[in-house]
Amino acid sequence: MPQEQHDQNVLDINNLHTGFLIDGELHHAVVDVNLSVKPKEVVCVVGESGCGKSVMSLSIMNLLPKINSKISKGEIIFNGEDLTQKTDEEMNKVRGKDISMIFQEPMTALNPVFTVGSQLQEVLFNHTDMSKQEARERGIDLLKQVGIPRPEKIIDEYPHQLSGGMRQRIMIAISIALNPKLLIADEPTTALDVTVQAQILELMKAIQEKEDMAIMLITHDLGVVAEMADKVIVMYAGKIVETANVVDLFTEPKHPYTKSMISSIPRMDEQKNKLNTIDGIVPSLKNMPHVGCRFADRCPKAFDDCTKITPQLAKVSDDHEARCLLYDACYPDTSSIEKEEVNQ
Amino acid sequence: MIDQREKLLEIKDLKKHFPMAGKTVLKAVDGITFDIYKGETFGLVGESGCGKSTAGRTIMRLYEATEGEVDYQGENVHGKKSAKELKKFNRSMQMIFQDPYASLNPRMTVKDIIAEGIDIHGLAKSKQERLNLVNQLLETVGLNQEHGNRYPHEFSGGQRQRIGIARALAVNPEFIVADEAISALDVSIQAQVVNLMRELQEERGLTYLFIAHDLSMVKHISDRVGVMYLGNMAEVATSDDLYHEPLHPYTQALLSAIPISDPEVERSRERIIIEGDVPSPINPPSGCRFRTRCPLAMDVCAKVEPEWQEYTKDHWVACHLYNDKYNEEHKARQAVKN
Repeated sequence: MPQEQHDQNVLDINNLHTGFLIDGELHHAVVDVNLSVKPKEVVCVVGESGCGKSVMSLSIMNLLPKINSKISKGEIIFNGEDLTQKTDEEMNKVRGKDISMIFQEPMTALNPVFTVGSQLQEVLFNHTDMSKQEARERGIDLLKQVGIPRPEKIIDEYPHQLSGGMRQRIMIAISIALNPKLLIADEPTTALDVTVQAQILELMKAIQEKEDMAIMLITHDLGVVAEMADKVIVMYAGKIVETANVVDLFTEPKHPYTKSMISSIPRMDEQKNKLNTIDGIVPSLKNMPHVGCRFADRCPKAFDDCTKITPQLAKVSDDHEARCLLYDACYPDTSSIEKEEVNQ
Repeated sequence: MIDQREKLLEIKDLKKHFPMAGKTVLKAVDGITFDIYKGETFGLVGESGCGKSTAGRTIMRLYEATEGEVDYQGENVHGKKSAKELKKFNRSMQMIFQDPYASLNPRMTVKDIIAEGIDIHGLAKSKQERLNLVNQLLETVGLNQEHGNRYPHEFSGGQRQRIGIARALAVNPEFIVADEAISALDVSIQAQVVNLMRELQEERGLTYLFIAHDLSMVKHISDRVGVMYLGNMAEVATSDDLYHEPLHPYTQALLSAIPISDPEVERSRERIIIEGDVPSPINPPSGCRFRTRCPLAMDVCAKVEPEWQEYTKDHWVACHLYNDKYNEEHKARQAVKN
């Protein structure tokens, strides 16, 4: 039974470790990430800058610079194949076709010297044997789908002639051109104004429902998470600290980091005098503690064990996982025995 | 009670136009009028390109105003001024900038960055006094004395923003313009900086002009809020009124566009999604500037520019829906709907 379920997932990441070479030493920006994405599911990955959420998504696409970074452990199973084992050439057949990605900066993600049309058609030519005329028609069709007015005109325009929201729509059009199974969206609305953000999120939801695609949405905005997510993954300093479905995460957050993060943002419908804060900052890659919980030095609930024992991600209630020693299940197997001995 | 508030700043029909290539003119701020009371936080919100930063900078005379007045305690900030008079204004008004990476000189130590204002205004009589002042300021914003000898690159974004605040406080200003001061920071760090700004306000009786695009944070920190659209002020109200009874269709759409971090509330509410993007301020629409995106636009909106009026006590709006002369059309439409 579990095997069967496993097969149905669009994406399975097991024990992923991604590191960067700094002064000749490998420092991990992503450690022990396990996650799965089911068909048609919207998985949101949240965390502050430097928590490893973008590195993880770039690992999936195999887009990290080979010269100073490395996936040192783990596997990324997509369509029954391990993406980490693929060569660049093999990955080119996956990228843009089965998995596509949109980025934060629609300014820099589009090439300024090519027309919208040629960038749209590039993905069609690379993966199919469409004729020029067919590709143009499909391009216009795609632009229509993402709500671009006057698509017959816009297809011949250059990115600088368009606004930020329009550019992000073009990026979405390119990314859905071949009906991918998975769309990775890395902070797709962060650079946009709220009214435009609302338009883009609405568009993504509509396309996701129509095209039966799964979305992995990377964001730091809990409001966006509340609006879009089915499942939420909270990352801190390279590790997953909590996963839950969206309602549970907001109503019953388990990890102190998640709790602090939720209470540190003001809500429009509430009146608060003082915001909760998390003292200190995320430790840098080079200063990451080797043993213990990575959030321990900022955690309001930290106790002695937190700096000595490294917690594991474990089930703390139905469909809800956390990595925190406040929950007995998160003690690693060996030390949980030690702990029992101490208690006795 | 409310009427006893003392006006610190009166902004009267302030305009800032930038000449562009050819004969075109970019009207970044085109006639805004509002007051800022002593000791309050006035939030200024709007989407990118609405002129909120230009407004903040023109109020501080970082830009010369094209037209209009900014009266600071009854005296116009703009107009002809001697160097001495200008210095007096500069001391009472300070600014905290958006980008904590670009706004601190990388070749100066933190100590010298903070003390620059102290030196210019001659506030310290000896080296020792200067050092003491700097150390006090560092402590006030939650940094250590030893941080004074370091350079900006050694600090995180949140710490840099604290340095920016210390620099602004160094000359004992009364009025601080914070232009997107927390936008570049992570949420947990934003909360730290906002709480710090609030504490300082209580201790020192500061007045803030808090410019931001994040309406939920603005609502949290501000007593009153102004909403700008394309160089014009659409609405000004207390932050509670603005949230509970937004009058201008743009404010309503803006509020509705902000995702609330609660999945149950978020998924059950109805949203107003406005179409399109903000038009260019070089060639803004005639009449009401929001009419091209406004779901409630009437014929008159294209012809007549709406008047800036105090619709209810302390609640200002510029929209024909609230003008008896013009809202017949809207009423008629509502009647048909019902």
